[in-house]
Amino acid sequence: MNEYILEMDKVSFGYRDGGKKRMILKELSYGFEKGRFYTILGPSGSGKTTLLSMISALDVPESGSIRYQDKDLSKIGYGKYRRNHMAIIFQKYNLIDYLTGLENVEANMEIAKNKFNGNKKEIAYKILNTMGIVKTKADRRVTKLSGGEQQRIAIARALAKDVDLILGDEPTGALDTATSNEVIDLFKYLASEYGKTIILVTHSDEVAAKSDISLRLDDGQLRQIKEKK
Amino acid sequence: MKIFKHAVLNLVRKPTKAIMILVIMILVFSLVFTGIIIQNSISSSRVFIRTHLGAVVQYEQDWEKAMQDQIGEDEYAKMQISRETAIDIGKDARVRNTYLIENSYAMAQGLKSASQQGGIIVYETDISGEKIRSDENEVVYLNLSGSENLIPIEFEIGKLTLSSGRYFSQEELENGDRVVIISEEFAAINSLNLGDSISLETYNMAKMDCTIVGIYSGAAQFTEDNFFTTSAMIREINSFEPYPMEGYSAVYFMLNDPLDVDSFIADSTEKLPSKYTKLAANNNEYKNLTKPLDLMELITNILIWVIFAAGAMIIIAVVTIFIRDRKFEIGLLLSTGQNKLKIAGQFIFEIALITIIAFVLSAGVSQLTSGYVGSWIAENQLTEEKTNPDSSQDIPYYYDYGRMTPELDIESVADEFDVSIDTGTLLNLFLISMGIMVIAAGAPLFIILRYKPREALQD
Repeated sequence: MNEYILEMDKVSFGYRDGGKKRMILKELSYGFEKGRFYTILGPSGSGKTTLLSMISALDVPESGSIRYQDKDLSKIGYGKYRRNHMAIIFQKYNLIDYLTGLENVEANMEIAKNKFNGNKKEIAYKILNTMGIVKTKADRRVTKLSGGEQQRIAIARALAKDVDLILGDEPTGALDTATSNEVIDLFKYLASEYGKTIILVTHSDEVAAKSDISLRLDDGQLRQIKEKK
Repeated sequence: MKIFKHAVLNLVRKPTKAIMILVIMILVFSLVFTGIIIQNSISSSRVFIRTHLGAVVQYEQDWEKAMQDQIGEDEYAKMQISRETAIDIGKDARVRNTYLIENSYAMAQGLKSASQQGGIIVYETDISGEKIRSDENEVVYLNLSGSENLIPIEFEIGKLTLSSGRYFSQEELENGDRVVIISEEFAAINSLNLGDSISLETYNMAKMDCTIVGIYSGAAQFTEDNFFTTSAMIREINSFEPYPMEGYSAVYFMLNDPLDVDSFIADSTEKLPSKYTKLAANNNEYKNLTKPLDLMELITNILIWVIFAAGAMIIIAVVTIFIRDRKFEIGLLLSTGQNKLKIAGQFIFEIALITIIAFVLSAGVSQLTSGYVGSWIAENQLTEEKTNPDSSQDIPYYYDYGRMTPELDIESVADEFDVSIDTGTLLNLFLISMGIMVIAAGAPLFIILRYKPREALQD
């Protein structure tokens, strides 16, 4: 048993482009350690979101394997893995538009089926409040909120699931600098104090600078460009 | 995840598409329901007609066809149903009573006819020219009908009513007592009362005194001189005839349930003595009365299927769009690890809710519209048929001597054209509606839920 919470082994994936296959991930192998805060950088079209789709089991590699806590995702079950072991924050919030902020968070908590100490609704309000969403806003339909507020709810939704692996695709892209810094600090805190593994795809060097390990996806391979000891 | 709560929240908070589906469903369901309700009413009307025409099945001989085929004497002889065959057919559990009717004629001197047709016959010579009466006495020419039943069939089915006196007793039937039931008109014109004796004359002028035990009302025009008596007495009168009528003048089977008529005829036909005989139950009248219903049923049937097919396709298309529009939401739920069955459950529950609301409203709307349509059909279509001379070939009641049913006209059928819907039909319609809904929602869900979450999220 190794120390990786998530390990990619020779993962390959590509797209058909005009009848020609373009490989995005080329036998990519990498291990993510528990309790570390990762950022993945790379130029547009390099496959950062595709990589995130693979490790969040939103899609399946064409070849190679991904293991979570040394168990192949296919063995765990992709649905079960998504439900109980990881949370993802999308670039475009991806909230359920007919629900309120609170209901979105609660829904994710219910899906996860994790045991929460206390009333789920109170916990949801607390997390939302931590993300700067006060009760009056939490009770509004998400379509009545600004983009920044929706993104904060999306982050709260992921945090509320209380899982070990939190993935994000430009999660702070819609936030102002101050809020973005707060969120990143929160991720750092969750990683260091609660042993959560955070993997964020970002374009921001500032965000990357705050992470424990920065990686660059280039030509289908991950290369470590920085590690804080 | 509270899938039911979320389903309701989606319908309440984003009602536009749900209302669109609801309106389409109400339109389609209402049209189909109206058609089915009318069809149901047509079936009820058929039952009403069949029930009203009675449960009497008559043994008939097709003389015309027999003559056309130039059949021999043996075959002619076969056309007379035997007592054994009639009794055998009458043993069927569906038969309540078998009536073997025998007829004869007799004269009565010094009595007046109650029939407007006459009944006054002046006899001077017989066919051979032999003088059988020396003077021109007035006599009443009487028609006698006898059976072995305690109550003659005409009274059993309500065609005639016993206004005073009684029917025959078992002893009178067995002993062949000379007892008769006469019409009110005949009794009145001749000042006859119960217990009075009438002297009948047979063909060879033998005298037979008989006692009046009953007086009936309801005699049709020209039948007021008809007497009812026992089979034994008819046979006694016929014994004086040089060429007595062979066999029964009529054989009837009264069934317990009028709706068994067709099956009874189908099952019993093989027992008939000749292919030139048949069992019938006012089929012509039944056909005449149900003719407008047949056309209506055909049109309604076509309409139902056209609307049903078109409506089902429209509903499937609209619901498919409704589900397809929420592919992203499905992808989002899949990305969070939500169970596929629960996702499908929420969407099907939403459509089911719309279907239930549409069903309830449609049932109400169609009850109202079918009531209007039903009244219109009853008032215009059914009764209009009667004004069309080609559509009604009913034999007038008073000429239809063998008929053993009460009179029924198209107005009575129209009055009974009840456009209502029963619970069983409602339940069937509900199941059909839910079936369409499950197909409409299930098919796109089945496809989308097979996507990988990332594919579903690519809107």
